[in-house]
This record gives sequence, C-alpha cells and structure tokens, in this order.
Amino acid sequence: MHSLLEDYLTKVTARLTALPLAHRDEEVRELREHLRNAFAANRAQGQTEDAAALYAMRDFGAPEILGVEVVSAWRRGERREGLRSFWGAAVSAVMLSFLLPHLINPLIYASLQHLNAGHWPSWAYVMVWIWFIGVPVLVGAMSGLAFPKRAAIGTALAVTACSGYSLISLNLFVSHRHLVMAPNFMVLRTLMSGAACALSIFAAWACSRWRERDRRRLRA
Amino acid sequence: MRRELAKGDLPALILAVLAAGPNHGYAIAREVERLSESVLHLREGSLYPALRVLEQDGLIVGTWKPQIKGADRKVYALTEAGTKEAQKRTQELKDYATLIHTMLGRIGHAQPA
Repeated sequence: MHSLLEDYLTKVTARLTALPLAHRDEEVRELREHLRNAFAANRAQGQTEDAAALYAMRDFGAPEILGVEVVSAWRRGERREGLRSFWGAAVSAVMLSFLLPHLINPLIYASLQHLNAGHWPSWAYVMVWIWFIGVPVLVGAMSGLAFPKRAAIGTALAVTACSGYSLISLNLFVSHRHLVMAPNFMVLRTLMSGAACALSIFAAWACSRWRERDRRRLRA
Repeated sequence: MRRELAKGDLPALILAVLAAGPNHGYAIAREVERLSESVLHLREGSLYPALRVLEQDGLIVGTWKPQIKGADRKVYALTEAGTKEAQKRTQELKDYATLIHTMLGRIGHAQPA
C-alpha cells in the first residue's frame, strides 16, 4: 500500500490504544481495505499515485478525529454493557439480601429465643457479627466479581436493603420475645450497620478493580 | 452543489442502503454518493463509527468474507430488527422532508404586511 496511506493508518492506530487488541486490529484491517479500494478507484480515474492517496485520505477525514470517533463508538457499547451490569448487580444483590435473611433468620431465632439478650453465649455474638457484617461483605464481593462495572452502587443498594431488613427483623424478634436489651445495643446496631455498608462497598470496589486489571491484561 | 451529509442522517442512510442487500463499507459509501448524484459528501471515515453503533444496537451484523482476489472484506447485512428499523427511519426521514417542504412553502406564501 502507498506509504502515505500507511502513515495515515499508523496515526489512526495510535488513537485506538483504548481498544482491546483484537478489536483494534479488526478496525484497522477494515479501514485499510477501504483506503485500498479508494486508492484503486482514484488511480483508475487517471490520478497519480500520490494524488490518489491524498484524495483517499482527504475523503476519509483527519486520522485524529477518526480515531476518537471509533473509540467513542466502542465506549458507547461498553457503557451500555456497564449499565446492564449495574442493574444486574443491583437486582442480584437486593435479591440475595432478602433471600439470605429469610433463610438464616429463622435459625438465629430458633437458637436464641430461649435466651435472655443480656445472657447470650459468646458464639451468639460471633454469629450476629458474622451475619450482620459478613453477609453484606459477601454480597459486595460477589457483586464486584460478577458485575465489575458500577458494582459498588448495586452493592450499596443491597447493603441498605440488607441492613434495613436485618434491623427490622431483629427489632421484631426482640419486641415479640420481650427480651431484655443488652446495654448500648442501639449504638452497637448503628455501628454494625455502618461497618457493614462500608466494608461491603469496599469489597465490591476491590473485586471490581481486580476484575478490571484482568481485562486490561487481556487488552495489552 | 455539494453538501456535507448531516451526521444524524448517516445511520438511517446506511440502513436504507443495506435494505437493498448486504454490502461492505466502501460500497456503502459509494452507494450513498450515487443515490445523491454526488451532491451529498460523506466523510468516509465517519462511516465506521456509525457501523459500529448499528452493530451494537443489533440492527446490522458484520461478517468477514474471503475474496477470490484481494484481502478479506467485512460485509454488513441487516438483522430482522434492522429491517424494521430501516423502514421506520426511512419513513421518519420522508416525513421530515415533507414537513420542511411544507414549512418552506408556507414561509414563501406568508408575505409581511
């Protein structure tokens, strides 16, 4: 191919570094074929090689603008995929947050109903900590791994639902069983919810960053 | 008189050209030029981002086809959704053209006092 057209394609390729390698190669392959056809058509009209190349490039437009437009088009597709991922993360996380309490709350209820809240055994407190902190963190991590785009937002929704539901169910449990509340339980409950939210969002962010690093490694 | 093709019209024109049959990028550009009798000038580089968007929307599908002579060529064809969308956008453009024609006719007849 004419050297001017190769230079043109080199400039376009330089603007496509944001694309995965396979997509970048495919774009350049298609542009090369178009330029080759345009060059051949211009030569068939009697133009010199240089003139045919220059006219082909002129009709194509500035390589910088073309590169930006191609990347923008690909990013539009990625944003749409990210939006689908966000809703996927949000729906999955909220479903898990309601499903798990429904499955596990009855077990906690059954094991603690005969105990006075001021006299819970140490394993009960450990279980409560695991339940109130561990489940939101697990939901956040799963959200970040499965849906790396905007996973934290879906997780924050899930954590809010999870914490709210767990707090409501615990309140109902306590009020129905007339258990004596442990000292500073309200403060402890608020701190636990805050910690659960923060750790869940952190887990989602860390897992989504780890997934993104893997994807970037595939692009290189 | 040559005019630059409006960017927003390009996807509709691509769909209309592909409605006639599958084609590759260079041929789509030439067909747009032929249909406009060389009045509309298409910046050919803008064709490929528009094709990519149409692919993402599921309206067209591109397949690399080997050629007897020369390099492989990516040929685009309308999907089922693309065929419906092509008809819809063609009608929208026609309605728009009719509206502009009507408006300009009214401006011509509405003489200031």
